[in-house]
Amino acid sequence: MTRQTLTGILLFGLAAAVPAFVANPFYLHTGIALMVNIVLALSLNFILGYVGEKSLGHAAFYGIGGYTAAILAINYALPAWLTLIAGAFVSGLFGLIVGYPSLRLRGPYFAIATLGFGAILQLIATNWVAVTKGPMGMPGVPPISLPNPFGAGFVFSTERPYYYLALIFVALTCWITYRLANSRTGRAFVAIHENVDLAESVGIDTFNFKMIAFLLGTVLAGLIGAFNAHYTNFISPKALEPYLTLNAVTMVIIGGEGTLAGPIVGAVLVTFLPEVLRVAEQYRMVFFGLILLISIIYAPSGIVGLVRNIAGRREAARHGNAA
Amino acid sequence: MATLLSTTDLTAQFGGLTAVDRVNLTVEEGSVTGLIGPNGAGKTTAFNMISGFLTPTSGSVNFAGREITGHAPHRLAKLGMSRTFQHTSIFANLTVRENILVGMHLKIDQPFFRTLTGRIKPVDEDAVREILNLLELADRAKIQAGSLPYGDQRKLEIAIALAVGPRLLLLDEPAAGMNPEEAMRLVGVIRMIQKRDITVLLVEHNMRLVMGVCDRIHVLEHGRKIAEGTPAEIAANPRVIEVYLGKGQANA
Ligand SMILES: Nc1ncnc2c1ncn2[C@@H]1O[C@H](COP(=O)(O)OP(=O)(O)OP(=O)(O)O)[C@@H](O)[C@H]1O
Ligand SMILES: [Mg+2]
Repeated sequence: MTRQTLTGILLFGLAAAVPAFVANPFYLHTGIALMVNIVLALSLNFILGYVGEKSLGHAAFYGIGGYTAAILAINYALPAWLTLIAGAFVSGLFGLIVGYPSLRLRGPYFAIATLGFGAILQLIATNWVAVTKGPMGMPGVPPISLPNPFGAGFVFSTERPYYYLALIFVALTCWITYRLANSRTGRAFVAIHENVDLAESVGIDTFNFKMIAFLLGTVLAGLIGAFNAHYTNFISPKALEPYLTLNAVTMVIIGGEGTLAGPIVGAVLVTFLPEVLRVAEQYRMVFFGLILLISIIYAPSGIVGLVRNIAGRREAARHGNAA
Repeated sequence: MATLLSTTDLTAQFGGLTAVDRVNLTVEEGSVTGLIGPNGAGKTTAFNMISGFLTPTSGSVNFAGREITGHAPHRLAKLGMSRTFQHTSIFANLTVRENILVGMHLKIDQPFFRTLTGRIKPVDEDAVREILNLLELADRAKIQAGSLPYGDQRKLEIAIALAVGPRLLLLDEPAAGMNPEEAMRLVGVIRMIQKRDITVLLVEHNMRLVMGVCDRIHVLEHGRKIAEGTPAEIAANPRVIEVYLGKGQANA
C-alpha cells in the first residue's frame, strides 16, 4: 500500500469518526458544507486542473443539479435516490450541449461558452417564475429518505445521515480522481494541458478526452448540487451565482490544480478563511478575487505545488545535487 | 519496395503566399528519406499537411494505401504515423518516463470505465525501457523533462514519437541545437530506427547527417520541388548546389 492510499484511508476514517464525538449540529453542518465544497472543487478540477480548459460557469451545473432535484421532488414527489441521479444526469446533459461545440475549437471559445451559459442559466432561474418560482427560490425541497420495501422509509431528519452521505460522495469523487490520475485517461488529460499538439500527434483524441473530463465534472457538480438542495430544503438562483464559480475556481487554483490533494486543501481554505478572518459577506468576492490573483502570480501550482517544491529541494539537497 | 507515403500536387497557401506549391513526394517503405531546402522552403508546412495539422489548400496525401488528406493527427497516429516538431515539443512538467507513457497512449489498454471500476492492465515496462535505452535516456527516467539539457530534450521528442509505435516517423530538424557529437550519434539512432522496420522522413539542415543516413532525398525551394535523388545525385546536382551556395558558386 502506498503512503498516499494510507493517508487517504486514515483521513476518511477520521472524518467518519467525527459524528461519534461531535454532538453540536453546527459543527456537523460546517463539515457538510466543507464536503460539498470539496466535491465541487474536485469536479471542476478534472477540466480546469487536469485538462486545463478554462471552465467559467461551474456554478451553473451545480445549480442545474439542485433545480432538477427540487422540481422533481416538489412537483412530482420523486424519491431522493432518483432526484439525485436525475440532477447528475441533467447536469451532464447540459455539459454535453455546452462542451460539444466549444471544446472542439482552439482558443477562448470554451471559456466564453461556459461563462455565457452560467449567465443565461442565472437569468432563466430568476425569470422563469412558472417553473423555478423566480428570485425567491424554491423552499420545501423534501429531505432525503431511503426507501424501505418492508415499511416506513428512513428519513434524513438530522445532520448525521447527511454527513455520511456527503462523505460517501467525497470518497467517490476522490476515488475517481485517484484512479484516473494513475491511468491512461489521466495521463491524456495532463498531456492535453501540457502540449495539445504533441498530445494529438501521439494519438490522443484530444476532443474526446476534454469531453470526458468536462462531463465527469458536470455530472458530479450536478450530483452534489442536488444533494445540497435536499439537505438545505431550498434552492434559489443564488446557487448559480458567478460568486460560486469564483469560489470553486479559487479552491482549485490556490490548492493546486491537477492534483487530488490541492482542491481539497483549497476547499478547506475557502470554506474557513472568510470565517476566521471575519470577512464581511459583501466583500467576499473581492477577497477571493485577491487571493486568486496572489496565488496565480506567486504560486501558480498552488499550495500543494509549493509544498512539493520545498520537499523536492530538501530531497535534492539530501542527495547532494541540484537536479 | 512499396510506397508508404505519397503526396500529389500538395499545396498550401497562406493568403497570397504559396508556401508549398504542387509538391509530389514519395517515401518508400523501409527507407530513410530526406526533405531538404533552405529556410522558408516549405518543409515544415509540408510536414504539417502530411501529419494532419494543416489542411492542404489543394492536393492529396496517401498513406499506407489510403487517402488521408485532412485527417486529424490522432487518427493518423492510429494508422501508424508519428512526428516530432521543429521547435522542441515535450511534456515539460512530466518526467521522462511519463513522457514515454503518454507516447504509448494507443498501446496502453486501459479503457476509461475499467479504470473506474476494476483492475487495469499495468503498463508494459519492457517497452518503456527499450525506448529509453534506444535514445540513451534510461538514467534520466525520473527527471522532469523540462529540466533536461537541450540535446536530451531533442532525443526525448524522438523517444515519444517512437513510443507511438509508428510505421512512418517524421522528424523535423531533430539535430537542431544539438552539438556536433550528439548530431552524429543521431545517425546511429536513425539507423537503429530503420532496422526496426520504421520508415523515416527527415527534415534536416545538417548536411553531414542527411547525406550520411538518407537513402533518398527530395529538395524544396520556395515551395517547389527542384530535385530528387540519391545523396550522391543530390550532392552533384547543379541546381541544388546553386540554391545552397548561391549563384555563380556552383562550380566552386
Ligand atoms: N501559419 C502560417 N501563416 C503564414 N505563413 C506561414 C505559416 N506557416 C509558414 N508560413 C510561411 O510559409 C513559408 C514556408 O515555411 P516553412 O516553415 O514551411 O519553411 P521551412 O522549410 O520549414 O523553413 P525552416 O528551414 O526555416 O524551418 C515561409 O515563408 C513561412 O513564413
Ligand atoms: Mg521548418
